[in-house]
Amino acid sequence: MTFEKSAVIQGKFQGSIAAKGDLTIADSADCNAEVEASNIVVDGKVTGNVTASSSIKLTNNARLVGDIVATKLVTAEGASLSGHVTVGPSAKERPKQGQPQGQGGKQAQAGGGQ
Amino acid sequence: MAGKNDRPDSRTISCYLCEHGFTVDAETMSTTCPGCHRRIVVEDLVLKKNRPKLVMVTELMTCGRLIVPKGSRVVADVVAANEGMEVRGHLEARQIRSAGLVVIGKKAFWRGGLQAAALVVEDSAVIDRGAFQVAGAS
Repeated sequence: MTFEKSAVIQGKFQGSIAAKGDLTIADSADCNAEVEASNIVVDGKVTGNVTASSSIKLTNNARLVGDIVATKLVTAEGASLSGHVTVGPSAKERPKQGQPQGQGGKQAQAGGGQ
Repeated sequence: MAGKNDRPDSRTISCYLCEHGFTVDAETMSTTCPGCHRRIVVEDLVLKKNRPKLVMVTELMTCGRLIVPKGSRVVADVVAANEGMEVRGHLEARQIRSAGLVVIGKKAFWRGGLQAAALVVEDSAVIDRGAFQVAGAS
């Protein structure tokens, strides 16, 4: 799934999400997906790597199994997390854990709003 | 957090080596664990701001809390603070663990794997890399 603006996932989702805008994964959501967006708020369950060009916020209800790459990360007490974490202004420039250099980053897909 | 006890001048702790729980006086700084019979540190480890600027050790472990203020730098192999951690400076270790709440403060620098009961990351903290296992609320 690709989109330009913001979106909220409230149910079950499987696949991959690439967005230029903001993404909210609501508390009722169960995502089994590779997620890439500008700002991501996780309030539900996510299984898969999460990459944000700007920030990731994990609420106290968040359940995340996967790697995190973001410029900023804010987590609330109570969030559960299992995976490699890389956070900072240069986080996106680093190669992902276990991924050979030069293959990082998905091709951005334009259009196809949802 | 220290466990509540009938005696106000005592607290219940768990050994960072064997996880055996027992009660000590509130003033106790170190003791021998009745479970594994090894010497353990009980007091909170609070680094003083900028003094010393860099702490390089193999192990930095306590049953209490670890506070790394802004301006302080800790480089270790293993860091354990059973009751929690507050990092506002630089913390770098191969393995970091806590049975309490770990706070990575604003502008803090973190490098290393973490195993903790709860985690709070504040805005603008830098996590260079690390495998995180945070249990969260069950």
